Amino acid sequence: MLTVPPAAPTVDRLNPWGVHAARILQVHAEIPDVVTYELEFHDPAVRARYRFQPGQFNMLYLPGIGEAAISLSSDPGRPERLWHTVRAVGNVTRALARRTAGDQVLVRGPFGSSWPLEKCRGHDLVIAAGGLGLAPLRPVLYHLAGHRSEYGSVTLLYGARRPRALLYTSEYDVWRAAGIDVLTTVDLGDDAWQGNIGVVPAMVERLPLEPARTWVFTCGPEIMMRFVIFAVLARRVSPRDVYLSLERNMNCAVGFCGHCQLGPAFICKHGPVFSYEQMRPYLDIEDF
Amino acid sequence: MSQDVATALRSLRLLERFPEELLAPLAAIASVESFPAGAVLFRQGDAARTSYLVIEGTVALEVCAPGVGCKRILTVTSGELLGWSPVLEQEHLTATARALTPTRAVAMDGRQVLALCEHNPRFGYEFMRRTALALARRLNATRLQLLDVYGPEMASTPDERAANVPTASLPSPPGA
Amino acid sequence: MPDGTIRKLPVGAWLSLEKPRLQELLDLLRQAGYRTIGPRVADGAIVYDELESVAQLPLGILDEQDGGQYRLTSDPKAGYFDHVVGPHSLKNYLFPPRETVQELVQLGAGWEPQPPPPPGPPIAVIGVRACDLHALAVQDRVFLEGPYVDPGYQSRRERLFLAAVNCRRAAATCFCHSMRTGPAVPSGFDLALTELDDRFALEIGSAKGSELLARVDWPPCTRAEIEQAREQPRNLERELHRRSAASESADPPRPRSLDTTGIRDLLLGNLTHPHWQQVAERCLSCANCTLVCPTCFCSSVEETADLTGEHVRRERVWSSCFNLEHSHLSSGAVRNSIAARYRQWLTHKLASWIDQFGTSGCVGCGRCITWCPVGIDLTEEVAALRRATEC
Repeated sequence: MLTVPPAAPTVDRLNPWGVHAARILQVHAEIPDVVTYELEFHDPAVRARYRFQPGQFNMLYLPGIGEAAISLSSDPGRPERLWHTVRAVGNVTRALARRTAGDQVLVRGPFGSSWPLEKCRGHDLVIAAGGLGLAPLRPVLYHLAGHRSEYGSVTLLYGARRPRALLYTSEYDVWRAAGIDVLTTVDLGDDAWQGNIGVVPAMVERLPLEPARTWVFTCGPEIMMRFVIFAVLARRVSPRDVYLSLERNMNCAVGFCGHCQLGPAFICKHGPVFSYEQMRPYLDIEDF
Repeated sequence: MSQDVATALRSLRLLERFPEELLAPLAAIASVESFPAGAVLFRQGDAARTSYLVIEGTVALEVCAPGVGCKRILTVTSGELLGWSPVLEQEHLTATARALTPTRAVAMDGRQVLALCEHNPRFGYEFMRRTALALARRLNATRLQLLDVYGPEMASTPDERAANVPTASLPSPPGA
Repeated sequence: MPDGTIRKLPVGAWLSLEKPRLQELLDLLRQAGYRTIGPRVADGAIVYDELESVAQLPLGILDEQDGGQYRLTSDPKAGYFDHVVGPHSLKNYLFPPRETVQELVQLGAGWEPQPPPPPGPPIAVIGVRACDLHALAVQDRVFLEGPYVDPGYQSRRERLFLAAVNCRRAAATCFCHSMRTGPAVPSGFDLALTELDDRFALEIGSAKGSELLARVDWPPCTRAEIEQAREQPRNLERELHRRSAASESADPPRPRSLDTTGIRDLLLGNLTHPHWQQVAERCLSCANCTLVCPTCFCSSVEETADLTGEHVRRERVWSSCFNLEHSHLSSGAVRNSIAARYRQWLTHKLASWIDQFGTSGCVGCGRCITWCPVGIDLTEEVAALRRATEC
C-alpha cells in the first residue's frame, strides 16, 4: 500500500469541506497571465493556527464559481501570509484574475504531502523546475535559504519557454547570495538573452553531481519531469531520492471524490509530492 | 602545443573515459582557439570544415530563415560538441554559432578526423560513439522543445473542469 | 403485542417473527424516529424507497437478471425478500446522489460560510443483503477511515439502523461467493432476518437492535428454526460454488464467478494489453456501472446559486470515471479514450483499490453486469485478460 501522510492539520480540523474567509492583501503581477496573490485569513484565530509544509496546496474558493487547487509558494516560516501564484487558465483562475487587493477569497487547506526536507538534510540537492512548476518549489528555496548550513550543495535548474516567462526573477540573486546555485534556461532565446537555451533535462546532464549524496526535487510539465528523472537516474542517483510533484484533477482535496487518481495513488492525499520509486510503474502508461 | 591540446581534451565531459592512447592522434590534428564574446565561430551555410569541442564558454546556435528572422535554438557549453556536420561528411553547416561569453574551444578539421577514423577503427568507434551520444541528447532536447510543454499545463494550477454533468442516479432499466 | 415488560436481549439472540406480524418491526422503527427504507417495485425494478407498510414490499416477486437484462416476474411461492439486488444500494442513502457540503450567504462584499444544516432523521434500511453490508464497510474506509472524515456520511452512518436479510436465492449475475461477501450476512447489522416458510428467524446483531426489540413479545426461535436459518444461506453458497464450477450446459443459467487469484498484479501488470481496446469497442462509456455500483464513490462539487445570487450552495453530486471531464486538466483530459476509462474503472475496482483501502472494491453483487446496456461482464473481462496473458 502507498503510505498516506498523516492528515494535514487543516485549518478546519473537523470538516474537510469547511472554508475560511481570507482577504487579498496584494496582487503581484509576475509574467503575462500569471499573478501572485498574497492572502491573509480574516479570523485571527485561524491565522494563528494555520501552518503548511513546502509542496502543499490550498483550495481557493470563489462562491458561485468554484474551487481551484493552488500550491503554496510562500515561506513556510511565515504562515500568517500566504502566497499563491496562479495562471489564469480555467473558470476559477480567470475569475480570480479579476479580484484585487481587499477582495475576499475563501480557503480550505493546507492539503497534500510535502517535499522531504527533513530526510534529505545533509545531502546535496538538485531542484529542477519548469514553468509554473517553480511555484510549489519556492517554499523549499525559502527554507533552504534560511537553513543553508544544514544541507550540502544546492542547485536550482529552472527553465521556461521564453526569458519573459521566467518566474520570480528578482529573487534569484537573493537565493544566490544565500548559497544556492541558480541556473536558468529557456526554450527560445531572444537578442537580449545571454543565458542558456535548451531544456531543463539537458542542464541536468551537464551538472556535476555526486550521485550517492544527491537528492532531486522536480516539478513542472510531466514530460519534462520524466526526462529530468531519466537524466538523473542515468547519473546513478537512486530513484528513492528523486521526488516529483504531480498534477491531476484535484476536486475535493481529501481523497473522497476520486478525480485525481493515478494508479493506486490519490494525488491529493498521497501526493502531490511522491518519490519516483513510488510512482514509477504508472508514469509511462498512456492515458492512465 | 599538442600537449596543451591533450590536456584540454582530457578535461572534456564528452571525452570522459576516452582511451588515453587514442587522445594523442586526436591532439595532433587539433588546436585550441579562443573567441571573444559576440564572435561568430561559423555561419549557417558555410562549408563544413571545422568541428569544435567547447572547453569553456557558452555558444548560441542560431537558425535563420527569410520572413522568420534568426532564432536562437540552443546553447552549447563546456565539454560539448559544437558543429557536427564536418565530422559527419555534410557539405554545409546548418546553424550559426555565436559566442555569448568569451569562449575557448578545441578545433578539429573534419576531414582529418574522418581520415583518423578510417585509419584506426578503434578510434573511429570511440569518437563516433560520443558523437552519436551528443546528437542523441540534442535530438531528445529538440523533441521536448517541439512539444512546447510550458503551455497552460502548469503544476501549480490543477483543478478546473467544466462542471460534471451527473447522470441520473437511477439508470433506465435495460431491455425492460 | 408488547406487554410492557422490558427484556434484555443479548446480541446473538434469535426471535421468531410470524410473517403476518412483520409490520410490527416496521412500526417499531418508525416509532423510534427512523425514516424507514425498504425494497419496493418502481418503474419495472425493485428499488429502495420509503417504506410505510409491509404491503409495499415485493411479496411474490422475483427478478431475473443477466448481462444487460433485468425483468420482474411473479411467483406465488416467492416470499417478501426472494428478489435479489436492484439498481439501488445503501450508497443511495449514505452517500446520496446530491448533497450540500457547504452553504454560503453574501454579506456586503464578502461571503459568510454557514454552519451545516441539522441532520435529517436517522435512516433504517430493511432488506439489506450481505454484499451490500460489505459494500458499506468498503465505503466506510473511504469516508471514515482515511486521513479525513466526511461529516455528512459520518452523521448518517452512525445513526443508521440495518435490518439485513439473508439471501435464499441468487441471480445469474451474483458472485458474492467468489468475493467472500455472501450470501450469508456477516456481522455489521443490527438485525438479520432469514425468511422461512411462515415466519422470519430474526437474529440480534447489535445493542441498537437489542434495544429496539426490548418490549416485543416475539418468542425466541426454536433450535430447529435457528438451524434452518443458518443452513439456508450456507446451502445457497454451496450451490453457487457448485453451479458456477459446473459446465455451462449442466444447469443453466450458470452463476458468475471471479477468480481473484493474483488479480491485482494481473490487472496492474497488463495496463497496455490490447484487451482493453477490445472492451472499449463495446463499452458506451455511459457510466451506468459506476452509478449502480455500491462502492463507487466518485463525485464532483457543483456551485448552485439562488436567483438573487446572494445564497450559494456547494453540492456534491455523483460523478464517474467514465465521464471525459473526470480527469480534466487545464491542458485537457488525461483519459481521452474509452479504453483508458474502462481500464481506470476496472483496475481501480479490482486492483488499485486493494492498495488504497486494503480490500477489493468489488463485492460481487453483479449490478454492473445487469445494468450495463451492452451486457459487459467484468467477470468475463477478467477471465479473458487472464486467458490472454497466460497463453
